[in-house]
Amino acid sequence: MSDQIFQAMRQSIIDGTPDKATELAREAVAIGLDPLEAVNLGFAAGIKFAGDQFGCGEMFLPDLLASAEAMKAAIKILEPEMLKRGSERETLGKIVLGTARGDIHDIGKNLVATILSASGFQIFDLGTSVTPEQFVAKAREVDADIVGISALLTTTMAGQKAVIDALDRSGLRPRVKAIIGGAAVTSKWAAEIGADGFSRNAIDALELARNLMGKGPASA
Amino acid sequence: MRPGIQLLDPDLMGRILREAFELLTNPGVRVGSAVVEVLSSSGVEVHDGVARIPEALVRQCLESAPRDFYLYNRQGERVVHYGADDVQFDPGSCCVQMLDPDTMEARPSETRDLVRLVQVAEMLPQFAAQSTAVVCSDAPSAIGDLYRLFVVLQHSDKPVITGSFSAAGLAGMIDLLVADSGSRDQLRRQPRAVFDVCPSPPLNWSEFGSHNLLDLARAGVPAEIVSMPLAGGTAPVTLAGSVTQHAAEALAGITLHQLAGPGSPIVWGGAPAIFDMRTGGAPMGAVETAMLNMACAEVGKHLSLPTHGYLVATDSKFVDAQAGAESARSAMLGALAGINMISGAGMLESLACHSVEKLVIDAESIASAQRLTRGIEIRDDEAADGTLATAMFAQTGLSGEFLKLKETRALFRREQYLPSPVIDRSARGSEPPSDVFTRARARVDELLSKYRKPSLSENVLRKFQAIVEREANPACIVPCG
Repeated sequence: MSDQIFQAMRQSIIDGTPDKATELAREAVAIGLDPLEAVNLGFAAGIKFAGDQFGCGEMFLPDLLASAEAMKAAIKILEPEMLKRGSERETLGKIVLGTARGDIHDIGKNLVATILSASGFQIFDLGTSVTPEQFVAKAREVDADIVGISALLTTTMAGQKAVIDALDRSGLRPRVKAIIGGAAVTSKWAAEIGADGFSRNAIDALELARNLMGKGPASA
Repeated sequence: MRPGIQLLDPDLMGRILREAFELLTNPGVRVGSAVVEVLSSSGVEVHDGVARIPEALVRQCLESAPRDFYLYNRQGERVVHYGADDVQFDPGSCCVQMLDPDTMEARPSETRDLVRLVQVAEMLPQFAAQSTAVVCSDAPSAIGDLYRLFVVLQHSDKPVITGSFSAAGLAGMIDLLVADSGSRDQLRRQPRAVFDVCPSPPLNWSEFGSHNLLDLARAGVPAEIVSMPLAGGTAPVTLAGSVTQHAAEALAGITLHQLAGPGSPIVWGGAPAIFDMRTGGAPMGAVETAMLNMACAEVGKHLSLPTHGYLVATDSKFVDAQAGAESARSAMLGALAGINMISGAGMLESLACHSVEKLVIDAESIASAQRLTRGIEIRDDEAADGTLATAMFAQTGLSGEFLKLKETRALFRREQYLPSPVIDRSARGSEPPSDVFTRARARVDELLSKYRKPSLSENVLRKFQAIVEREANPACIVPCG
């Protein structure tokens, strides 16, 4: 019985069907299933599969987003139940995200936020055109593990360096890791500005964040 | 609206056909002795090997030629439609060289090369049909044509564009197809192959070509006329003049064919090219060569006939930027011209050399061309709720969150061609980027690892074997042409 429902949960995420995921989460609560098990053995396995499929080109951004939306829908039902049981889902880490000062392009940053959040990270999204001071203040306030700075334009990429410099000056680094992303960002640029890592897409970002937290690759 | 392209206005079309009909009576057409009887029974006498074919007889034969027909796969499904503006592709045919991806040198093609080409083409939906792509230098040359079909039939369920090297070869090849289909009637009802038949420019249906036309017409197996005028070499230097010569050769072929087997399927096809004034070769990548193919097909369409052309090939010796530019350009142009079957993908060196790596790259160009010809589709009856954009904006407002819309997920696969990893669109990562040839090699390996050989019955395989052994006996080979 449990195996069947876990399988259905996994499938609801792979299919990207929030309604189905909600229904299954409610069913889990109704039959007294451990909500943490429902996440770890059911829904999260679906996200892992979707991420792998995206990584090898079998699934695409709209599919991945739909999977993440379905995951969010399931977590929304299960979270109060976890709180009730005192079995809060383990947070993989706290990440502060935003786009560099002057850059209002946030599709990539939003994707990263959605995927990381659906995968168990706690996300503090500062939105677009964020100043270095705002990044530092938020990282300090929430005791962040990672700060992620996105920049689409070559002209705003310098803003990524400004944030990393500010994090250095604040004394938060090296405990707080700084990661960067964006269309024009390369490994060379990441090395040049002293970032702790960069990724090309949301799924790579998930692997990167897991590695920086010492969690290693996700397992299904 | 299906996007298209036309090169001939009604006035030029009229002039081309008028002069083509004129050429058929003056200077007339050289024909093989095989068709003398067929022609004389229709009142056309052959003098000194030359027939003067009157327009009325040609018109009568055009009436009996089918406007369209289908090719079937081994499962009996219609998978190729020769007719209307339907566009399909098959790999180029009959190379004698293969580009070795390890040494980057051309070497004589062998059975293993043909098998690889067929296996890869079998896995690619861009190719509706197979071709007998290379001559196998490791097989006896006397059965070179038959042997290619024998190899293709064992490794593919798709229809085959093929051709014979001799009259005797054709009989054996038809026997192979009959063995596969079960009977001659079944092969006629659901043809699995088309045979290319070539006149020799200018205006010459040789003994071999004439013979093939007659045999195919009588067997009811589809024939594809592949007329090859070389503008400035074996045909008038002007494109219009070469299109006219092509039309005359094709009209003569259709006449011979329909007189022998009225209603038998025949394709208005060709491999016209310009004549390269530096090298004396036939540059398949030249834009004028593409224009000739397009214009020739346009004349065939005007006559309501199924059409064929030779494009998606290159003159480059490597799978390089020239190869990509020439092949992709002509794939687009051929598709826009609505040519029913476009042969040539995978070919290098002006049709002398094949490359399986080029084949998988060409498949991407073909897919792009196929996407282009679908045009801008209106989906207001589907997810977009009767509007082009406003219904989607009603959901997003100014948030710009289109990526999350259910319409996006429901429609993006139909709106966009999603390329294979042969096409690199990724951002630069920490790994060194790869070039297209490297990615093509990986794609070939991936496709080969997923390929499954068709299951043919023991009975059919035994019949194949018997036919090949019979034809391989030199005593059975009747030289012709």
